[in-house]
Amino acid sequence: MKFLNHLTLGQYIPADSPVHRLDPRCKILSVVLLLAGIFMMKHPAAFIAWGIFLLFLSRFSRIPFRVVIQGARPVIILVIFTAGIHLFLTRGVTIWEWGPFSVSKEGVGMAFRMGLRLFFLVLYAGFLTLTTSPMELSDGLESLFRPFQRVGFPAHEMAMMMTIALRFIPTLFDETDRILRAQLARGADLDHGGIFRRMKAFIPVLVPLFVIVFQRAEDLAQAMEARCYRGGTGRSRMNPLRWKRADTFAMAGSIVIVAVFVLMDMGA
Amino acid sequence: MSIRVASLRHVYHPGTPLETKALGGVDLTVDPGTWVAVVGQTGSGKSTLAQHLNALLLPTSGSVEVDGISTTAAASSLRMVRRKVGLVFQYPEHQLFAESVLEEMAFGPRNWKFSEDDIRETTTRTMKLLGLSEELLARSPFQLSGGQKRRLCIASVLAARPDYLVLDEPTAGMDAPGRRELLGLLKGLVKERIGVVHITHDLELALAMAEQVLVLEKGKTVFCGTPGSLMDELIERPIKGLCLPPILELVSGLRDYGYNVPFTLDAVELADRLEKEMRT
Repeated sequence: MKFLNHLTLGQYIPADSPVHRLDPRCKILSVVLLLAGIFMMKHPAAFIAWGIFLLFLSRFSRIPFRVVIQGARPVIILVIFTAGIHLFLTRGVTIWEWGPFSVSKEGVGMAFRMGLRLFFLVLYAGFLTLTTSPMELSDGLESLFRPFQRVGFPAHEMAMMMTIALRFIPTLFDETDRILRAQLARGADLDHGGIFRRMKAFIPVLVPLFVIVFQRAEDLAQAMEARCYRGGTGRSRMNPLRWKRADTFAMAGSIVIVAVFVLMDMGA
Repeated sequence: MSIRVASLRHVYHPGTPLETKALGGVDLTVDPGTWVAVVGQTGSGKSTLAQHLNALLLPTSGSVEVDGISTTAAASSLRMVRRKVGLVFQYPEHQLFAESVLEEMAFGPRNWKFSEDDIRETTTRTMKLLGLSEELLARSPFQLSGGQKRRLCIASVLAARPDYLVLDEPTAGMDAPGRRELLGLLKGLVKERIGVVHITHDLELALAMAEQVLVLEKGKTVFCGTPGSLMDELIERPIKGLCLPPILELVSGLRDYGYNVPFTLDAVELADRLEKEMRT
């Protein structure tokens, strides 16, 4: 009997590909650039071009295309909703009418454009988390946000918080699983009755979980203090980020691709 | 009427990269009023076996039957099995949640639809049995001491009056007096015809307390029988994954030196025999 599935968690797919080896900062900046490019796409030809590039990226980073598409599953409802809104609420030449609903020619175009834009946004953004481990990601973000420290932005603290949170997700899943089993063994009935009864039935799981979370937090704080943790100043790293030649190439590549796509789109 | 485990196999996460074979063909019978110890190292499959006994895990193949109810039958029978087999997890303190000790104790019985009078009766009875005073009833379970918490957890499982009690390392992290008290209590339960399954990595404890010992190693049975026959077996050859308790190590060393002393866990008996041996 499986109560919680661990495999659905953690999007990162380790592989040895040129994309995986890139500096996280390069990947973060490239993704921001690509997303900006996607926001500007209008013509069907551009959609095809972005689609082909997506296939190419999937091949290049050795992530099966199936997995890339799966990443969009949580937002599929949002995509359909957005497309629907645009389909029915854009004014123009009416081509279909039923009661209060009407669809215009422009609406169809808008629906496709907005829906696909959103869809591509999620897929491209997904590449970042698929090819970058959470650790690298928070290191990269810390490094990118460091300049803002001068104006009081807590870059290191933010990255540390992110790392800890990510690190504890699987641990807490294990704990939840154990408590769930213990209460089931004591006859807890979690999947019968109405919504309120079910919510109430989860109290015996949530209370011990809260207790454990606070205990863990205290233990961790103590362990950090015992090792003289005092924030980011003067702290060295085990794996310092290194900007390599490949990163410069990749960065230049994304700039060129976005520029070409956007210019093509405007020209077409 | 007994728990019957037949060629039980269990595989975690089948068909994924995390696939692990936890149990590979285990047989075991637990009769009411007996003490069965399951011994093995960390990762030997002890806890996996424990969870099968009350249908929290279901067999990949093989079968588990509790008083004739199979855990692989209808889903509705799972609750029947859990009703009959009480399971105390390792470090059960982590399951405490209620506002008061009374509520904590009543959780199980209430889930099994005991009447309110019955709940009051069973609560007081089990509290007394575990040496928890009634003054604690209104207290928050989180205010209790470590030993009290452990006993409360065991009491909360016992309050539902199970026919069998499975305990996963119940003495872990307990001090010597607390441990002795708990073991005495379990002995008392056995007298009341409850079948006790004691999961532990402490061979000495198993040899001293149990009527039947199952030794697991990497999910496979390496021994199953009485403590006496296990000791005989251990004299002949070392069993994989088992270290001799210090006193047996001593006996075995003395025998190597030519002293005819018996394999016993009783230090006084050993000393007497040794004295006689040395005089002759």
